[in-house]
Order: sequence, then structure tokens, then C-alpha cells
Amino acid sequence: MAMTALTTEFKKISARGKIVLGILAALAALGLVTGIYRLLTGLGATTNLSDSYPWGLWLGFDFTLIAFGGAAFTMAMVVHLFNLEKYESVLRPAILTGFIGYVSVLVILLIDLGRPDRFWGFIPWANIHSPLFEICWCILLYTIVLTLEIAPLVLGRLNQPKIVRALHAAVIPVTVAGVVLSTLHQSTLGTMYLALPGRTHLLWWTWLLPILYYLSAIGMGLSATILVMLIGSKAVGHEPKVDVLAGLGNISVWVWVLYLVLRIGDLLFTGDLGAMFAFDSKSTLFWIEILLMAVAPIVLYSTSQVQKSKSGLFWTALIVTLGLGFNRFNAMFSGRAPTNVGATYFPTFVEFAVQIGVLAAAALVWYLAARLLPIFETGAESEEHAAETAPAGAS
Amino acid sequence: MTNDHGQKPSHTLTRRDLLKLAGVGAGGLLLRPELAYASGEVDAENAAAMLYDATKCIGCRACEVACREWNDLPPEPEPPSDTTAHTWTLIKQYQGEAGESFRKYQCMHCLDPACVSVCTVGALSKTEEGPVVYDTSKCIGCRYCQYACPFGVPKFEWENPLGLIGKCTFCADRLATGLIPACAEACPAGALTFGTRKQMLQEARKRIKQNPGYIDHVYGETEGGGTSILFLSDIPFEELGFPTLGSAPVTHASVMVANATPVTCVTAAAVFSGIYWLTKRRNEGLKEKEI
Repeated sequence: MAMTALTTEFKKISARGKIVLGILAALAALGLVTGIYRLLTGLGATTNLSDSYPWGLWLGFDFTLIAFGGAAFTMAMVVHLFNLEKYESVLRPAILTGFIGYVSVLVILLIDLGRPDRFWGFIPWANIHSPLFEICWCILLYTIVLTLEIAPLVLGRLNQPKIVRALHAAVIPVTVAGVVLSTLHQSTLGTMYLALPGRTHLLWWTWLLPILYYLSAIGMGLSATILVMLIGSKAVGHEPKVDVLAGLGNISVWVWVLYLVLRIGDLLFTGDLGAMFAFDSKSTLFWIEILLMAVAPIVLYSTSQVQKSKSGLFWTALIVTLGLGFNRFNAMFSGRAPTNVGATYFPTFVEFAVQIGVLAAAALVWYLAARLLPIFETGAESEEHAAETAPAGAS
Repeated sequence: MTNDHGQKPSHTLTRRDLLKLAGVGAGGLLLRPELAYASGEVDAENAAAMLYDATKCIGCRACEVACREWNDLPPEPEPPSDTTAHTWTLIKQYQGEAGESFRKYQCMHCLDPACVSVCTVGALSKTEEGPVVYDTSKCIGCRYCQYACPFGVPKFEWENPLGLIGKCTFCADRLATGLIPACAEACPAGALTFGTRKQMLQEARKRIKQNPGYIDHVYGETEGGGTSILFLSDIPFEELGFPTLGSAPVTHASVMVANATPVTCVTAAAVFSGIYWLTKRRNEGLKEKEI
């Protein structure tokens, strides 16, 4: 009976799923075409970037996506380093999200570079004072770490037990390396703004930026895991453990409390608290960001109704994501005075098309990977399966 | 806190800064903070500098023409309203309540340049002779220099599919052969004076003393840690669109954090390995109890 219920539900999802997949594929194709067009014709011909706004939608999304991809290092840290075994069931989806997220970030960075033909430039030419140099190296190395973390799933399917065992033996050093690299580059994204004190509004400039960016990446990583688990398991037809997801929400409450204490405490300490209550456009943006990103999860994840409800957890995680995106975009655009006072920026169709295309492709790849790989299993469960040599999916 | 040249301290840590630092000190940020001032190694006072006296400028634009000619810059389709990747210097007219004036726009050739500090690949560098130069063969086009420069100087070739940054080089190639910058040579009004930074500051102070019409400030003497291009004006500098900057190099905070990276790295590795070890022992302990 359970079997037939499962089959009917699967059919139901896959019917609607086909349409969703078709739309995602079409958006990805549009992104590919516009991306190539951008590479051939240049940034001036295809974007509204200018000398006043040298960075735009793409980098705003990259900053957001790197924090979202923080799901991978956060969960690896929780499961492998804090040894909280309860959360093992969400580890693989989180690592898959990180891997696909970081590859997406790299694709966008490549398209955004003025000299995409020299994307490798940070390897031979070093400037150790540059936050971006550090970020480039960390992202390169961390993407390798993510590849090592995701590889056992692919190799397990390809019947390569020896390599899988070797990777399994290296899991702790690899995890430590991944967490250290993430600690460095997630915080250094904040350091990037430390380099422009005069141009950045005081609500977005503090010595604590590296720590605030790091903490918010962990908070985002926890909510990203909740979000991806709920969307992914629905798409693939898997039943997520609500108490596990609620537990992630609970952990993130403490992260956001610490974040708020530091961020508001810093303003209090520097005597700039008044800027929060100026209720001009900057302080309004600040409030929206703080309420969505930090206050909402603290309140909602602590509510017992939310903890028991999939939709409650879903909406809370979505609000956090929006709030974090708001924070990263605020820092990049609203918090920063353009060189030309009065200059404005709004992305072009190509900028939107490329961005949406990359996100659609990411969702598509995530879905296919979740279908083809044992994403919703823990390592132990996979080993049991292998021992039984039963075909996957049979129950 | 004076340096070799008896210059005013370029940055004094305030109590507020110190307390803030103490707050982040856990990350090892207090490591060798003096490295934040890369310019300490450059003998800035005896390096090349230029003084632009706005009260002497007649707005003839001979400097613009000379710059374009010497640097082989392609002509602009329309007269630009701002410097571009192909217009490295520009004279703009100011008309306002404070009066009338011209202002020359160009790279300020900071003593501790933000662009050099943030450039991912080290394509930008401050030479000992004074100019901030740009190596076209290294640039990857990330545009962080544009984002970070407090004066909005580096400009990008937006129309070029493989675009690069364009900015004033202080005619580094001319200086190397003993010539003075093309713009300074072309100026018929004596608005541009070339020499060492020490000489230019002396000259500027002399003029201020002789003529009370000047604003009593040499812009660039301390701004952002000091610049090689110095300005005199009889109109407040903010009116002319000059940013108000402290005396610390703009990127002193980011450089301080970047310098702490090795410490952060080792600390993080130790902390996370320690946490792993502790939680593993705790879990084993719990399992033993269950048995």
C-alpha cells in the first residue's frame, strides 16, 4: 500500500516536474546564449555596468551565493567536526548545494571578468594584500575540497570502492581543510569592504565586517540547508525529518543572536547607533535587512509551531535567504557612494538572463544529481546498500 | 609615531580604533600592524610630485591635449564629462556660490594607493620614483581598483570585449628619461609645477603664506596617507568635489586583516581540529556509558 502511494505521488510530481524541468532547461539555455553573447561583445555592450558602478547584479549574486553555498562547510563542520550525528541525513544535500553553488559562482565570475581569457591570473601573479586575491585562492581550493567531498557519491555509483574507501579515510582532514578555507574566504568577503571606509555608509562599515560576514555565512548555511532539504526532497519524493531541520533552525538562532549582539553592539560602542534611527533610506534598508536576516529567524525558529511545520521552516529559511541577499546587495550598492554622485545602476536584460540562467542550470543539475546519486542517504546507509548489492531505489 | 622624513604621523590609532582592534584581536589582527603602511619603504618626500594651483589654471586644456598625444590615447567620440579609460586627465569648470574655478582631474598617485593594495594580481604598483603604474599584461579585469579608489580614478574600457583599465601614469616613461610629465610641460599658465614632494609642499605653503586668498590647506598632503599630486585652491576643496579623507591610508584596515591571514588560518585549523577531538571523545564516552 505504501508502495502504491509512493508510486502515485512520484507520478504526480514527475508530471509537474517535467514542466518545471523544461522551464529550467529553457532558462539555462537562454543564460548560455546571452552569456556567450556577453563574452563576444564586451561588458559595455551588454550590461549597465559603468565606471561609477563597476560591480553589479552578478557580483551581488555571487556574494549571496557564496554565503548560500556556506551550507556545505557549515554542515560538514556540524556533522564531522562537532560530531553531531543527528544531522548526518542533511550532510549530502548540503555538500551538493555547496558544490553546485560554488561552480555557479565561478561561472558568473568568469562572465563578469573584464579579461575572462586571464581568469587564471591570480595563480602566477600574487598580491597578498588584496582580499580578492585571498578569496580567489580559497574558492579555487575549496572547490577542490567540495569535489573530493562529492566524489565518493559519484564513484560509488561507478563501482570504484577503493577510491571511495581512500576518500572516506581522508574525510576528517578534508573537512578541516574545507572549514578553514571557508572561514578564510567567507570572512574575507567582509574584508573587501574594509578597503573602502570613506565610500561605505557607516551602517555597513565596521572593523567587525570579517566576523559579521563569517557568522552570517554560517547562519545562511543552516537556513540554506533547510530550504534545499525541503525543496529538494519534495522534488525527488523523499520525506525529510522535520525535527532535524528544526534543530538546524535552533542552532542558527544562536548564530543570529551573536550576529545581532556584535552588529548592534558595535554601533552602540562607536556611538553611531543614531544612524540606525535616522529613518532615511539607508536606515530603512538596514532595518529591512536586519529584520529579515537576523530577527526573523531568531523569533520564528524558536516558535514551536514553526519547529513542527515544514511550511513554517520553509518560509523562515526563505526569509533568511532574502534578508541575506538584501544585506549583500545593500553593502555593494546602497551602502556605497558611487564615484559620480547621482549615478544610478539597474541591470540589463542580458545581466538578468545570464544570472537567472546560471541559477536555473544550478537547480537543474541539483535535481538530476539528487535523482542519480544517493543524496538523501547517509554514508552508513550507502554502505549497507552496497553490502546488500541491491539496486538503488528498491524497497 | 613620526617616520624617517619627520612627516606628521600618517595615522594615529585612536582609543576607538584600539578598542575595536581589541575586539577583533582574537583573530590575530594585531599581528604586525605596521605592515599596513607599505609606503614606509618608499622615500615619498624625495619622489616625484606635482602641484596643481587651481587659481592659476586658465582652463585652456593644453594639458589634456598633451596627455592624449604623448600617451597615444584614441580620440573620444564626444567630449567626455569625466575621465575615461582613454582620457586620463580632464579640466572641469566649477561655478557655484563659492565662486568660479577650474579643477584638474587625474590620478592622484597616492603614497599608499588603495588600487595597489586591492589589485588581485598586483597589476598596479607604486614605483619608488612616485608614479602609480599599471601592468596591462597582468590585469584580469576584476575592477576592484575602480571599486576601492577613493578618487574614482581607474576607468575601464567598457566597449572593449577584452577591456583593460586606463589611468594617468604620471608619465612614468618620461620621468625615467629625465623629462617632466607631458601635462606639466604643456601648461602655459604655470598652474602645474613639477618637483619632489618636499619641494612641492614647501612651494604650496609659501604661496598660501603670500596670498591669503588660498584655502589654508594643501589637498593631498595628508589625505588617505598623502598623495603625489597636490592641490591649491581658493575655493573649499569639498566644493570642488574632493572627497574628505582621513590621514590613514584608505586600505589600512583591509591590509591589517589580510596580514593576519596566516594566523587566522593556523588558529582556525587548530580550533576545528581541537573541536573534532573533543566531541569525538565525548561521543565515545557517551557510548561507553550506554554499554
